Amino acid sequence: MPRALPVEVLCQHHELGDFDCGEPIQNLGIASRVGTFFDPSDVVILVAHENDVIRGFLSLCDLELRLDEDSDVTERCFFFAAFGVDQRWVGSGVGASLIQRSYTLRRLRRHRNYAATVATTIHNPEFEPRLRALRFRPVPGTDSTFWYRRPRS
Amino acid sequence: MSKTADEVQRLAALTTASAVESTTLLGSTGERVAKDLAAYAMGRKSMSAMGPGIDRAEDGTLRLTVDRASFEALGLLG
Repeated sequence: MPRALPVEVLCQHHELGDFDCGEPIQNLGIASRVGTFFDPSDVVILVAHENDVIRGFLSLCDLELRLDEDSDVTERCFFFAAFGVDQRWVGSGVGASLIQRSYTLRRLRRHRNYAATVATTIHNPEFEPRLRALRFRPVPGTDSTFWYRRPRS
Repeated sequence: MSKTADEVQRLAALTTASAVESTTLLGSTGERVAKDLAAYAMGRKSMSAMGPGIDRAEDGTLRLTVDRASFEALGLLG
């Protein structure tokens, strides 16, 4: 059983190493964030690391969904926007650790009354089986680009 | 009002209008929205470069204005 890697919010001391999740656009994304102070502040990037070298990441933020431009109907969602695990670490529990930590963050923010957790798999094909295992459902009509899970569903 | 100031005001109004236009999560447009959101979350795209339907709520939260079909698809109505 591989040991669980620590998960932290991305900081300046984390290193990219030879990270490769198999998706060039995701590799580029995390590479551009490493070693920088991350702004905007509404986004949190969690990283699983081995001696500060990144082996996986999960980018998340709050997302307010508003019904039509003139409507007062809004719902706040917890949003998984980007996800990647180094190919050599797939199957070692890195993704599970990242998601578990994100749920801790969600619990800490429970006062925000999230109506749902929403995820996109647009550049994260390996995220889909994990979402299924977590009882997320594909949003109908989105060609499985968006997934959602309602609280206690 | 000078011509330049007038132009700035007109462009600002256009920007505001496009920022609150609703979009859909369905079909190919939804794919564009997903790409925008993912790019924003990884710092590859700024708020000003986002497509229609994406702006900030009053409290600064990332906001996505969607049509009724998308809202229903997420199970957020009824």
